[in-house]
Amino acid sequence: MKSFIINRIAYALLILFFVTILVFSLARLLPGDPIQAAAMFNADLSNQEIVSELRARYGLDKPIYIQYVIWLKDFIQGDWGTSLGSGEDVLEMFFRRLPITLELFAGSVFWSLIIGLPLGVISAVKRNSWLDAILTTTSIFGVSIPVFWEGIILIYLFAVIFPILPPSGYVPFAESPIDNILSVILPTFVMGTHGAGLFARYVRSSLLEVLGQDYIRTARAKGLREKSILLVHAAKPAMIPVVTIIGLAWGYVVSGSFLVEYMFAIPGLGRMGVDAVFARDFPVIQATLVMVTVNILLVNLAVDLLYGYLDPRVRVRGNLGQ
Amino acid sequence: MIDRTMTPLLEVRNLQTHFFTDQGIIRAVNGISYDLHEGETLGIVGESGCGKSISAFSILRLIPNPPGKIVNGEVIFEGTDLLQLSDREMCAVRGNKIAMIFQEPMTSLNPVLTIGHQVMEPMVLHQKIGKKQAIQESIQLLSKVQLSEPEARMNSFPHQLSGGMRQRVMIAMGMSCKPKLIIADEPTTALDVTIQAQLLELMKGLTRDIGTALILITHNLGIVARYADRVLVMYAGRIVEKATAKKLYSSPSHPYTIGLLASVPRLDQDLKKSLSPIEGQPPDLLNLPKGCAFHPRCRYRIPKCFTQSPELEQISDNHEKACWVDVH
Ligand SMILES: Nc1ncnc2c1ncn2[C@@H]1O[C@H](COP(=O)(O)OP(=O)(O)O)[C@@H](O)[C@H]1O
Ligand SMILES: [Mg+2]
Repeated sequence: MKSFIINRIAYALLILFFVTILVFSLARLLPGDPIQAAAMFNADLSNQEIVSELRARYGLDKPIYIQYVIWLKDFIQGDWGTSLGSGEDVLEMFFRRLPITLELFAGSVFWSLIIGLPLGVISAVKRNSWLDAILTTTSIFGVSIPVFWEGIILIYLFAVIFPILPPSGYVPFAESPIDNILSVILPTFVMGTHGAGLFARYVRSSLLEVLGQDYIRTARAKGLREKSILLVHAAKPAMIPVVTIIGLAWGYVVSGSFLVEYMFAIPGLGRMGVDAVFARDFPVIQATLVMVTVNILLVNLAVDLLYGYLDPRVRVRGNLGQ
Repeated sequence: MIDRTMTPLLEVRNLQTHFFTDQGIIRAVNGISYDLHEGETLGIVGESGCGKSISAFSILRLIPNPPGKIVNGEVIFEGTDLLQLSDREMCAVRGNKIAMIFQEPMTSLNPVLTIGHQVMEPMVLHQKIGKKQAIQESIQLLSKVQLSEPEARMNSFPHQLSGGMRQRVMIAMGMSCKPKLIIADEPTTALDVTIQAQLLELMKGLTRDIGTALILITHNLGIVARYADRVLVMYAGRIVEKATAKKLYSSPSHPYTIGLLASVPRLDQDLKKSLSPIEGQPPDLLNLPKGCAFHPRCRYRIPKCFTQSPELEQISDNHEKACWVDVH
């Protein structure tokens, strides 16, 4: 198990390294540079001398690979630079907004699980019934509905026709816990929809497969009731393949946060990232993308560990590798 | 000795279990009847696909529905018809009064639960004993089925055990509530020959100790000869011959039984000559021939066999066959 973990961590670090290179170069490949962008709004910057001085100050005149090494070293040491737009420290910006986005993540995982798991279980237990047909259609709908479209429909329904939820904006928890919850219901639901559909689909097929296994027949032959069979004998093996899609579903949650935070005017990391792209704010873009990668790698690592925990066969294979 | 004058422990009457598939109705079990007395060992033999497992699963109502359904019959166990019980009452019989040992030791244990958990489960469920006592009794059971290091094995997972060891665990599980009847569906078919013999001896000994009746399903007539008191020979979902093990060997009467016996390798025969499997294809249950289902493969057939299906008839004490022809 230990070597299995070390292996996964090394692999994650390697991916992270390549992603930093990619992220750094991608930002540079966007047409125009930030000084140019700023010059459009600031008459002072039409002066060529000032422009080159600014370029030198931000290191934009050095060869690109030197810029990369300097940037990576600083980044690891916690110096994420200052925003080209607001002049704020990027690390501070990041951590100020992090709790907001984490709340959205937690909320969307909540929706995904609270909707997806029961739908999948009910579909499997009532397989091939009309109920199964309805639930299956619903979950396919959930998987394929575009985030922005769902967002608009829900805002229209619950903020315009039945005005019970705010159409946009974010209220910090410390300010008003109730308003905070109300303000995140719609955005987290939209972010969690895809995952809910995905979980429902996978739980259904995985549970159906497990319920057809010989050891479930053994459990029946022992006199166990259907409920214990589901909970004790089927749940854990059925979760093993489902766990592997958590990583996939998480990707949708993260990418959803960019659209959703923008759409609902929530001042989180997604919003920060989108604003940064429009403003060609390189330090912020880079920090955002690297942290998105770190986030996804951490989640996938957790998934691997969970997998090892659920499946004793993986656990033993790890032991042998020690 | 087995007292055949007493009411039988199990009476199966005209049991019919069908599968309703897209291709048509498969009559996997097509009207079988037999009795089983306390402490008796009944062998059920027949080629693969003739309905041995389905007839056994039907007793415990473990038929996957859909597509399967018990469409007719009675399964009277200790005086009550199991087919009339509610699901809840049926659960109290399974694993408690009647236990089952399955054919596939590799897949019949849950891969994510420990051996200890799985062996303890029936006792905790049916006998309502505490966990500590259940652990003690499980360790004893595991040593009774001669599993090495039973205490350490309690925390093992199935994949850490060989096929033979897993089948020992299955036997321990089946014994855990001291059932009145154990149904063993080809318990040793998947294992190699020396382990087969060990396990069958073990099962025979354990069932004798607690006076449990045993239904031993196999396609190996040698096993039946050695371990069964009485034998049912099945073909295409029906019983074609029913006799004590002794009579079946000394005077087999159905052409199918004769064919089966001829295909059993005997030590006193040249191996090549002795292996003469019955000619022709095993029956296609979706497309059974008219008349006797065995007639296309039968060496003794007469015109009547093509049109009329024979019923079981007594030919001597404790000996019945379903055949129009007197083979002797
Ligand atoms: N789940 C199922 N669906 C359809 N047909 C089945 C199913 N299970 C068994 N059968 C049919 O029942 C017949 C008897 O099966 P079985 O009792 O398992 O045979 P065996 O004598 O080898 O134990 C098989 O020939 C098969 O066609
Ligand atoms: Mg079988």
